[in-house]
Amino acid sequence: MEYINIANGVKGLFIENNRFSTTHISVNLYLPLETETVAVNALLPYVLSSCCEDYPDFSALNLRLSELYGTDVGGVADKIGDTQVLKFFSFSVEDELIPDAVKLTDEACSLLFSMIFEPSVKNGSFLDADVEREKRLTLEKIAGIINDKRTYAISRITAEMYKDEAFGQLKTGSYEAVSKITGKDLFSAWKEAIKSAQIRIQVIGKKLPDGLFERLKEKLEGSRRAPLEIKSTTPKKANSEVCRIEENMDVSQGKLVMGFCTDLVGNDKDTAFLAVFADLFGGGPYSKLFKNVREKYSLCYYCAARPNRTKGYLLVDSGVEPENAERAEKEILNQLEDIKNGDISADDLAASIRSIKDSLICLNDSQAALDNWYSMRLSETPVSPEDYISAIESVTLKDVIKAAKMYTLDTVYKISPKQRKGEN
Amino acid sequence: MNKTVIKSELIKKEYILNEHPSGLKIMLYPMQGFSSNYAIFGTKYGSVDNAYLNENGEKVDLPEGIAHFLEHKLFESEDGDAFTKYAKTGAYSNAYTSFDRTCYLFSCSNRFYDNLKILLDFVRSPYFTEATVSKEQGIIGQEIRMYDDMPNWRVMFNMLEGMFYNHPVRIDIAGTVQSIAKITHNTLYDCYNRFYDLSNMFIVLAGDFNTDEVLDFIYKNLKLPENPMANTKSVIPDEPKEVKENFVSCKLDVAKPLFCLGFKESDAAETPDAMQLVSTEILLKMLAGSASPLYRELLEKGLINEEFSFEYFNGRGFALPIFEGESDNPKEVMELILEKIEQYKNEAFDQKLFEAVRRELYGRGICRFDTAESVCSMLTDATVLNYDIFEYFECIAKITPDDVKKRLSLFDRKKAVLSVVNPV
Repeated sequence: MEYINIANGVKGLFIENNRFSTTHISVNLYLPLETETVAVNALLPYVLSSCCEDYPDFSALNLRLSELYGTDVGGVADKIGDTQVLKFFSFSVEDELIPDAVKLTDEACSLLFSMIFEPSVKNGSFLDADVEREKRLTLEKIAGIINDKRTYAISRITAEMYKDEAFGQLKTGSYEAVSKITGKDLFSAWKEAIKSAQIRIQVIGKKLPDGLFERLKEKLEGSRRAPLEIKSTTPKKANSEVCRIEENMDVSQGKLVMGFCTDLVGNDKDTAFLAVFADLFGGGPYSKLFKNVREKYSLCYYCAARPNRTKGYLLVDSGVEPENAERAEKEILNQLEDIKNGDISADDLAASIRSIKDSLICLNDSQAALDNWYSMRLSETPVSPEDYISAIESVTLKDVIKAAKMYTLDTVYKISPKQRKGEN
Repeated sequence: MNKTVIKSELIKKEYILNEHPSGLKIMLYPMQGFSSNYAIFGTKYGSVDNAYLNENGEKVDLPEGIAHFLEHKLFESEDGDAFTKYAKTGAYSNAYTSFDRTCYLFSCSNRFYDNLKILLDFVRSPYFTEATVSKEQGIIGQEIRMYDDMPNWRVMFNMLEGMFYNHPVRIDIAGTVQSIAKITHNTLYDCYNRFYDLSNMFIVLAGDFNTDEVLDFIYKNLKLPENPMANTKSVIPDEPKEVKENFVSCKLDVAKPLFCLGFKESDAAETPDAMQLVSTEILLKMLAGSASPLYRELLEKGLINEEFSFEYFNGRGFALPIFEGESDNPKEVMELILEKIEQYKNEAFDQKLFEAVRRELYGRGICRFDTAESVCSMLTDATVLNYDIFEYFECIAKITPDDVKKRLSLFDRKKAVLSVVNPV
């Protein structure tokens, strides 16, 4: 792994990996997550990746990508604790694997940079057609969250738990905020992002494309860069009284999601014991929730614990028969109590550590997973999966008990069936 | 031990094929330098295998959902369930049942042979009792209810129900709460003996291993049946060429209508050949892919969003192109698709688009050799559907516009079924 300082607030990361047929590149812009700007920033990668100055028309751009043997370029937005990341990526097949003499990786890099730095704009504004198209797609994505009740339940509880801060916003920003975005707003947000973001370019492939980092540096010249420091994330203090929300919907199976808070957020090594705890609580098939709540008592079809390292919370989400919801909730808390009381076998702890380790080693076999691993880590020198493995391996039973005691129940969210589903 | 090297000069890839004396097909794809290994032990038995002829030539009907039920139960052996055994090695394990196959899989980064031994053992050790069957009925009942609430799943199965009169692809893979109530441990043993005969099964492995060693290990550890039963052929009822209904709809809690449009391929062979797959995939991409004029029109008219997708859905005994998405006006989407097909039938072919799509399929296809999981999935598809994966690439290289044009006859208004899930 090579870590290079390209310019002030611009880092380059090259992971040499000969296994793959493609070169994967991502340019990540890190900005403070703020309620006022989350929506306009989040729309940027979608508008920018749909066209650019050279290909102002999205059909023409897509045709070009097909011609380049299915080269892909795109953009997404995400939240990492109290930071917002705008990710632009490309992947392209290695030149020697195709029958023509086309320089696929060069072309992909050009398209990627052109997408970020040479958008299709006019008079200080993005074009209405592009903005309105991407706004509609985002708005329909937001409205469509309700289609999958599991995702919907998770998004609702997160919004509720963090309603007083920016983190409570959807990745896309709210429906209302997206509706109001204009081409001019987006143009200002683009200028601002290029100027103030901490930037990291990550490359995973056989070799670093010639002059790639220098090209990025050139593109940034003239943008009067004044990168903002990445602020550390503030965890939430759990509600003194558990907040309960219930919605009735036209479903046959109910959903129960329980949100727990801890005040520990931080880099991987400090929080490795929280990951092992979450896995033992509701991760693998050896976990308390799987073995007891699902298998032994048949209370839920699925019942899993997912930790969020960056903001310091943990969600237990389950699909539950309505008549079992109350018992399931009690049983989930009982299982947590059991861990607090040290009721974990050495075998289960070993199984959990083995399983986490195994999945971390497997990260090296996927470019997208590796890229994601690094881009989600904000520290100046992000920890590698290998370094994280040693932290995981050193977790003891005592650490797991300590972790269990650090979580406090904050919010309980339920979906209950309204009536039997009506069909016509 | 026979060992055939199957090679592609075109894409410079190869795998090893071995036919075990029992008829079991073993395929090994070495991936030097990779960290993870992936394995599938599968049988060509799925939810469409719903009836068979017994030794007296009488037709025996099976409860709907039995293949999926059997998959759940096979995970449990007399000496404990497979999850517990894999917990000792750290491997990720899972299983799935689709229309025409049941597969048991693991992925791991170490203790490959221990994991392979677990897989070889439990798939060959059925253990069903009245008590375990009755417990599973409860768990699968919950799974069925969860799928009932998934609009994407419902819109697709409603379309299949509308399309087919008799073919069991119209039946939900998990069956119904009523149908699985009829399953007993005896019916499970009967199905296991008939459809898990080694001559109906296959093993696919990809990863960094020595192929001779692996073959040797499989031969030594594979449990052979004491009284092998010749594989029973399932009976698929005759299916009329016409569709049952052209339009079906229901209501669920969704944001906007979901649609699934399918075209019945009534003259489909038992299984599609590589050319049929390639020509149909190219046609679909030319018709509705992101570079196509139709996609542009649908997007600009606000008739589709990012949920729009299409595929050539096929398996043993069924094949149909489908288009899915969200739209306020699914009927107009269908009309525009049909209109574009008529245009393609009557006008000169867009050579540029054809060539671009052909390259995209080639480039993206090559990338599928980059992960052990996708290699195993490709080899499994090819085995179940009886084509050669390298032939697939040969077809992409040699296909002509005329081959693609021939497939236009697939799209016939009379054979179309539009399924819509409307908001409540």
